[in-house]
Amino acid sequence: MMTAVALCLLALVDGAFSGFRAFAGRDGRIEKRPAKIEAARLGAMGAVAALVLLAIVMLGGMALDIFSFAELEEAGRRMLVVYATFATAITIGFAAYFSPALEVRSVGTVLVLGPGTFIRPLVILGGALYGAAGSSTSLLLAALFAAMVMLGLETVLSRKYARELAAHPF
Amino acid sequence: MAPERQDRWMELSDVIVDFRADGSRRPVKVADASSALVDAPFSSSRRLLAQLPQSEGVFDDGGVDGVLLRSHLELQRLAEEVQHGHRVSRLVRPFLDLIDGPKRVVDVGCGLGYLVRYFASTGSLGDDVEIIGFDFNQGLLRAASRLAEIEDLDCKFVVGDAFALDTPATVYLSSGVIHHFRGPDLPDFFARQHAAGAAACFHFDVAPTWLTPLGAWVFHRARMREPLARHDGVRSALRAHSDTDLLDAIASGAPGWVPLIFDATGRRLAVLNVMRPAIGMNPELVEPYKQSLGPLSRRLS
Ligand SMILES: C[S@@+](CC[C@H](N)C(=O)[O-])C[C@H]1O[C@@H](n2cnc3c(N)ncnc32)[C@H](O)[C@@H]1O
Repeated sequence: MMTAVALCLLALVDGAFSGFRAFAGRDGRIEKRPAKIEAARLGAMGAVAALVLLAIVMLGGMALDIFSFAELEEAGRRMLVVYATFATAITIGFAAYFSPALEVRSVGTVLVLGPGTFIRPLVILGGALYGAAGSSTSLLLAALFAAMVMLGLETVLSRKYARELAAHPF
Repeated sequence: MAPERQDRWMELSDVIVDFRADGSRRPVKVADASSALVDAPFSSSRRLLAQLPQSEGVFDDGGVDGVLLRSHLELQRLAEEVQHGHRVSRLVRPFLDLIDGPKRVVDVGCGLGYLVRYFASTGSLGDDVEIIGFDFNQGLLRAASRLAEIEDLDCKFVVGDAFALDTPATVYLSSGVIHHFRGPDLPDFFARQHAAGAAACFHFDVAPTWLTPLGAWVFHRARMREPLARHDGVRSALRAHSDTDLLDAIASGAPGWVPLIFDATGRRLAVLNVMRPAIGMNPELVEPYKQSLGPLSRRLS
């Protein structure tokens, strides 16, 4: 159960970052902290919706005996190894970003946050594949579905912000 | 375009618009833009050109403006992430502090005017400083003015060509602009600012290191969505001027200025050396500037 809770928490944080990224680069104002926070909140809400969808798929799979709770938990535990490692690196980069020294902040951005966004799709898909490796095909498909849902969240949010910008290009 | 002004890493934004100094623009034929991409080594450049808004073989002004606006918004996001406004003001403010009375800072090729609006919003250049954004792209300047208006910022935007400079300043600065100027244009760019009576110029641009093209590629994939912004972002890293070329161009174009580089290539970890300025400065102000800059002055050469 702890595995599921940890994965959900990571998904929420990832959703918040997705919301922020979808918003970023589309609002030209200098001061826009409330809008950034709102975008992150929307991303986290999107992650909640994604988690509900995934919970239905997983519970449905168990109800139909397609996979067992133990199998899911084992796959989740392996996924967590990948995602927690990635999250730790991002946390360090993020901490550096709030350092008072510009040079330390640069390290956070240049070495961690930018490349982190760049490899995120690979990490999410890789974690799903690694988690489901050796399990049944249906579990592998479920894990890949979960990965695609998390990756799709940013695309959906990004379309929303693109539409808003097109409608009101200030 | 004269051959000496072209290079193999031409950016799409160089060839899809053609502005006059008064801000008016000539229509650009897609075929002309394509042939201006001199032996572009990747056919992707020409493919991207073909995808830009156009009708009957001519680029569509409104559509192109939309692409450029979105690209500049993404550029602003990158500037915000690397705290570029702070990077610039921590070097320019100590210089302005040396000068008594009202001062004027002109950001040449300001685009959406992120720096200009950042300075106006934060007051980070100090008091008694008039802040002006200057660019030949009227569409971008209109958007910049609206953004300034929305936030009630005290700054101005002026349409003009850097090579027909008619807006005097105490300090000219720019960011991500000078790699666009090739051949004789580069010294000429500095010459005009010196001739306009400026006490100094600070031109920030990508530092070309072995890591720059890779870093630019990763960052533009991660942070940009507009294909033009991704393409030109990587190109600008590939065509960025070396320290020596910049120092030589200042020395030959504006011999009355002392040429300086902050964070010269190879002095520090290349990876942190994202945007560094080439500086031209009136000789009598160099020593006072170093004093005013404090410990950061060790990074000037
Ligand atoms: C890469 S953009 C950089 C914009 C802005 N400084 C920034 O950092 O976001 C280059 C800008 O320089 C402007 N530009 C290029 N050549 C120019 C010239 N000869 N005179 C005035 N503006 C010019 C373009 O219109 C464009 O807005």
